[in-house]
Amino acid sequence: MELFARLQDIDRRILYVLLAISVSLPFLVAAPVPQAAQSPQTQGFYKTIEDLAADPQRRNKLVILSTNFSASTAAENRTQTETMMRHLMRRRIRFAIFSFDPQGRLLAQQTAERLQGRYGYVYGRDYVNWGFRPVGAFVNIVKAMVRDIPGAIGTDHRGTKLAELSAMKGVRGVDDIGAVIEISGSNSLPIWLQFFQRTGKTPVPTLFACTAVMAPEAFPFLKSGQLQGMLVGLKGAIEYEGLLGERGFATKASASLSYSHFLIVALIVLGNIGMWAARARPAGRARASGRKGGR
Amino acid sequence: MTIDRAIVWFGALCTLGLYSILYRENRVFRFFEHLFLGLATGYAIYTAWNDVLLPRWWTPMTGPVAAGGGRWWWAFALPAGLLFYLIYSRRYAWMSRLIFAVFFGFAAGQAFQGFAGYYFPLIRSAINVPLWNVPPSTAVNNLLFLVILLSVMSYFFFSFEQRGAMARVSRLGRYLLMFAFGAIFGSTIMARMSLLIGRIYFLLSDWLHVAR
Repeated sequence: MELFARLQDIDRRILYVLLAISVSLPFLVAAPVPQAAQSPQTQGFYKTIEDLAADPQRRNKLVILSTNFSASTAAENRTQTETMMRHLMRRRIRFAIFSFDPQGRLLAQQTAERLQGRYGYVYGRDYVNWGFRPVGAFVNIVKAMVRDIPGAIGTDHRGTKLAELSAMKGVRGVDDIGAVIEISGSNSLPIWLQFFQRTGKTPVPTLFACTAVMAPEAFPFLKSGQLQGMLVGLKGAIEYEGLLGERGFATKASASLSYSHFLIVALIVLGNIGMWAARARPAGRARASGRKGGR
Repeated sequence: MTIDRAIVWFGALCTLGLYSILYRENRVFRFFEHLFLGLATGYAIYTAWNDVLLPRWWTPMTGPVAAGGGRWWWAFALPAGLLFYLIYSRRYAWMSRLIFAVFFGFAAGQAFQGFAGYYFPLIRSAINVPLWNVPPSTAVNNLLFLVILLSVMSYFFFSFEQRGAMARVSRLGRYLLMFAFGAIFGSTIMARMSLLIGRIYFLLSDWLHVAR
């Protein structure tokens, strides 16, 4: 019983080492991991892009990649960005990178430049980067984009007027947008739902690629039809890579994600066993143990 | 050593320096924390000037008329913007209220449109949950949704004392909220693990070249 009670007092640094081992090991040796099941929200995400590519009326429309994330959530958001860019490039769909986070516009541009050679994409012809705009102007710019996107955005991140770029050919307002994809580590999705999605002749399909911590709040929008699909953190990217048949960082990381979750669950169980064992001890010994203090 | 390799080494040192906090509080962590904050702030200022102020304000104001410049009236944006900072002056703080009032007006007007676009579809979908003439699985799902919705909403009736059946429904709502908080906490753990995986993969792959 005393041994079990000590489970509550494991030094946190030992836990960190165990966590580091559980995450690192699958990258160093072949580790078995079950195939990820495709969740409905990831399938919805994939299907929206496929439907856009298959529709001759809509396939020439522009897709907006709203990359509102920074380096701190790159493991989730940049992996998602890379996976969806692969999909868009594979289906020859034009897209625009747009960011209200200073780092988001650069991280997305780097990702596009890394992929463009493989898919024969050219900057300015097949995709464009509208650059960064301050988050305080988010609502006003999105509202202005409903009628006049080139006027609201002005120039790309290199200072070229949007009207001079062939990637922007035929793009005037909301009705020329095929889909909006919000890739975010913050609560920026509502702006697109409030001021852009339902302002055209037909609702603009809206997709959300978020950090896992934000997903529970966004699930109601799937049921209400405001979102057509969602990628939930790194898990969403793993599922999306599976649908695309690609093996990128997300697939490589799936074993690490699973093993780290196993470890956390095991530690929670052990901690609870320790708590029950401590409660079952005689009161005097429990008090003596309590005076030592936990770490 | 090439520039790219030096950047990877610098990134690895920053990562290890920041993770040193896991052992204990130390000066190396403090140094890299301040370095990261300084870099992020500096980059944000550069981007604000390069992507926003230069092409959207300075060039149209000072550039040649033939190239779309000569819009001198944009100069008035500067004192208007500076009014925000008068909030730090006791004597002139009243002037900052002028610009704040303008923006409050904008925000209030937008809030009406925002509410409609954001909540109306949610409310419509919450009402539209048929229990008849649908497949059994859908009916069960919808019934579950209704029970959860009503019991959670009942928990937030604070204007009268809840007794009897109402109190029991309200308690059920509280338990269901706890389920939701558990799901959010689980998602938070997954998010944090993902960030750790990203950093460890960087160290093993880009820095040490030992990842498979």
